[in-house]
Amino acid sequence: MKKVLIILLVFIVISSFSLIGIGCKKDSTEEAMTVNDIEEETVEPEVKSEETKEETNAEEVIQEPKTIVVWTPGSIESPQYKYFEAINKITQEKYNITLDFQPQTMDTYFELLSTSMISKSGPDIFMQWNGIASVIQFGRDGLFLPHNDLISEELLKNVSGWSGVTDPDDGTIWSVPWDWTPAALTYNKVLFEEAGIDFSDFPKIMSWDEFTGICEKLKNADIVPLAFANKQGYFGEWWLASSFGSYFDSNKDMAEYYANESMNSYQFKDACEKFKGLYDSGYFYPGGLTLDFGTEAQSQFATGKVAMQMYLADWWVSFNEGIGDGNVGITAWPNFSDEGKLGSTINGVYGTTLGITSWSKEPEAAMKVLEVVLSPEGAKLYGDIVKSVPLNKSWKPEFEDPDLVAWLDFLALKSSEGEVGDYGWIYAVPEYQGAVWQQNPLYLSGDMTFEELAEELNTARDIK
Amino acid sequence: MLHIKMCSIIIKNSNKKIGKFMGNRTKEYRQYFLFLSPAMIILLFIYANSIVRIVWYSVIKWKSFTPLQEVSYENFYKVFTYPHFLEILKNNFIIIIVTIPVVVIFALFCAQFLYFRVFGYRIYRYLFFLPVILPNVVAAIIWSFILHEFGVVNTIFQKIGLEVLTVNWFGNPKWAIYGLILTIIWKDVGFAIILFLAKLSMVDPQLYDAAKVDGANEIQTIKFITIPQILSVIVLYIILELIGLLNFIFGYVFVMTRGGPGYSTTPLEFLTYLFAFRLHKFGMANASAVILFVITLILVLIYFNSSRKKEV
Repeated sequence: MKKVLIILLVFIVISSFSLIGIGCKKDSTEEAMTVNDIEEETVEPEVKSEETKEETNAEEVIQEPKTIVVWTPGSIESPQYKYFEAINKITQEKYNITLDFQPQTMDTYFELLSTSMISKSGPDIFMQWNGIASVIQFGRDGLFLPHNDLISEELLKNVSGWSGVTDPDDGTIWSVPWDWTPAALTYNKVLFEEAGIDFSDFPKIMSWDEFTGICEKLKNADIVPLAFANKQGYFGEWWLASSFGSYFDSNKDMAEYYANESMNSYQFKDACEKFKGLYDSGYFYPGGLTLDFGTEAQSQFATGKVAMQMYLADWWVSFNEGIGDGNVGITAWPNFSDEGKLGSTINGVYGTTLGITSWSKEPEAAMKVLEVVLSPEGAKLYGDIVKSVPLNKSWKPEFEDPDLVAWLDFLALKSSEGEVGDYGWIYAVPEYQGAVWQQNPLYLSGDMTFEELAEELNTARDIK
Repeated sequence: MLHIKMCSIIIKNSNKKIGKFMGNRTKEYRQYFLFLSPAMIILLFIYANSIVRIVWYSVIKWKSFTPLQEVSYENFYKVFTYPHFLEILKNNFIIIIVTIPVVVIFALFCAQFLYFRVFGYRIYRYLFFLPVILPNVVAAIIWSFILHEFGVVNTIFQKIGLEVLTVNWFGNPKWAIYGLILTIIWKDVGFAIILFLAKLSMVDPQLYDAAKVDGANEIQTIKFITIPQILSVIVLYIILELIGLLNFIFGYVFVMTRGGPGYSTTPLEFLTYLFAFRLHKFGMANASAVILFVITLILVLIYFNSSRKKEV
C-alpha cells in the first residue's frame, strides 16, 4: 500500500512538471525602451501592399458566420454599449460577423487584461490606452498582434493618431487609434451662476490663479467646487498628470523628464504643492480621500453636489440627465504653469485604441470590425452616440448640444496651434504609475512630505 | 517448564488473534482507501499541481508577459528587498496580534453567557452569527460607510460633543489598519462563539455549580473551568483564524482601502496581487505567494506544537 501511494505521488508530481513544461526556453531579456529612443517623428508604419489586399477587399462578404468579442471598460448603461450595438448591425449585414461587446468594470480592467494575457484567452479585441507605457509596451509583451499586415493604406490615410500606437523602435503597429479625449472640466452652470461666476468666455485655458479664484468663489457661496473620490488613487494621479505638460515644450521633453529626471525637482514640486493646495483649501468634496471612485466620481457631479468634475465622454450623457440639458458646460483643464508651450494648446490628452489580441483566432474578421469602427459611418455613429471625438479625419461634428459644439471648436482651434500634451507619453514604467496611485493620498493628507513622495516615485521607477 | 510452555502457547495464540485482528483492520483500510482514492487522486492532483506550479514559477525569471526565462532566485531577493516589504509584514503581524486575542476573549465571554442562557440568548445567538453568513465584501462595504470620515461613528461622536474621538479611519495611515481589524473582528467573532458554545454544551454543568458554590466569579469560571474544558476547540479556532488572517482577507483590503493610505493596510496577500496585476511581475507574485505559504506553515506548526505541549 505504501508503495502504491508513493508511486501515485510521484506520478502526480511528474505530470505536474510535464504540464508546466520543464525546459523553459532561454530568451534574451528585452531591453526596456528608453525615452531617448523616442523620435520626434514616429517611424513610418509599413503596411501590406495593395496587390495582397485584393483578397481582403472591404466589400468582401465572409461567408462563414463569425463572432468577434470586444472588451472595453464600461457598462451596459454606457453610450458605448449602444454604439457597439449599432456597429454590430453593420458588421452582421456586411460581413456576417457578430460583434459581441462585453463591457468590463474599470476597477478590474487591468486585472482582466493581465489574466487574459497569462492564459492567452479572452476577447479578440481589447481597448488599451495609447502611448509608450500602455499599448506599445503591452504589444511588445505579447498582448497584441502586430497589425502592419492587416491595416490598409486607406485606413492609415483616413485616420489620425498612429504615432500613439506605433512602436518607435521598429514601426510595428500594435493597435488602431480609436478615440481622443483631452483632459477637460465639466462645470455646473446653475451652481456657477449662484456663485456669481462669469463663464461667458468658456471654454478657455485657465491659469492656476484664475482656476483657484473660481474655486474660492464657489466655496464662499457654500458650494463644493470639485468632485473627489480618491480611494484608489486615480484622482490624485489625474490631477498631477493631466496638467503636467504645461511645464514642457513638447511631449518628448515631458517623457524624458518622467523617464530620467529625479522627481524631486521644481516642476513636480510645484505641481504637487498646487494640487495639495486644492485639498488644504477645502475645494475637494469632503471625505473624498477615502471614497470609492467607481461609485462616487460620476454621481457627485451628476447629483449636483459639486460644481466641477473631470470630463469623460462616457459621463456626459448622465451629467446632462442629472443636472438638466443645457446646464453642463465644458472647459479646458487648468494649467499648473504657463512656462511650457504644451500649456498653450491642449493638455492631458487620453487616447484610446482598439487592438487585436495575439490569441485571436479570427484576426482578419477582427480587422473587418475595426475597419467598420474607423470608417466614416462608424465615426459618425461614435460622435452621435458617444458624443466624443473619433479619429476619422473625415468626421465632422454634428452635435446639437451647443456646449459640445463649442468645446470641439475650441479643441480644433487649440490643437491646430501646436503639439498637444499627450498623456500616453508619460509613465515610462508601470511601477511609477502604481506608486503614484498608492502614495498620493498619503501626501495629500499630510502624512508624507513632498521629498518622501518624490523619493518613493524615484525608487518605484528604478524597480525593473 | 510447563509454566513457560503454557505461557508461550498463550502468547502465540494471542499473537494469532492480534494478527487476525490487524489483518481484518488492514483489509478494511484498503477498502476505505479504494473508495476514497478517485476523489483523493483528483484533489491531490489539483492541489499538488497548483503548489508545484507556484513554486516553479517563483523561481523562474518571469517579468510581464514575456516568455519564461531561466531559473533564478532573483524573484525572492526582489520581494525581500521590495521597499515596503517590512512594513507589509508588520501589517500582517498587527492584524494577527490584535484580532485573535480580541476574538477569542470576546467569544469566550459571549459563549459562556449564552451557555448560561441569559435573557434573550436565542436572539443573541442569531445576531452574533449574522455577520458570519454575510460575504466578506458586503461586510467591508458596510464598515466602509460606518467608519468613513463622515460616517455613522464620527457623526454620532460629533453630535454628542465628543469630536475629540472622531477619527479619519481610512484616511489616516495609523488608524486605517485598525478599521480593517474592527471589520474582521465583527465578521469572525460569531463563528468563534458558536464553535465554543457547541463544545461548551458538552461540559458537565455540575462543574459550574461547584464553582458557584466555591464563590468563583465570571473570570475565574472562564479561566479555571471553561478554558480547560474547551481548550482543544480554542486551539483549533486559533489555527484556522491564523490561516484566514494570513490568506483570506484580500476582500476586505480591496474594498475598504486598496492597501492604502500608502501601504499602511497592505498585507502580504495583497502585495501578491499588486505584483501580479499592477506591476505585471508574475515571478515576484509567485515568490510572494510562496513566502506567504511558508510563513503560514511555520506559524501554524509553532502554535500547534506549543499547544500540544500545553495539553500534555
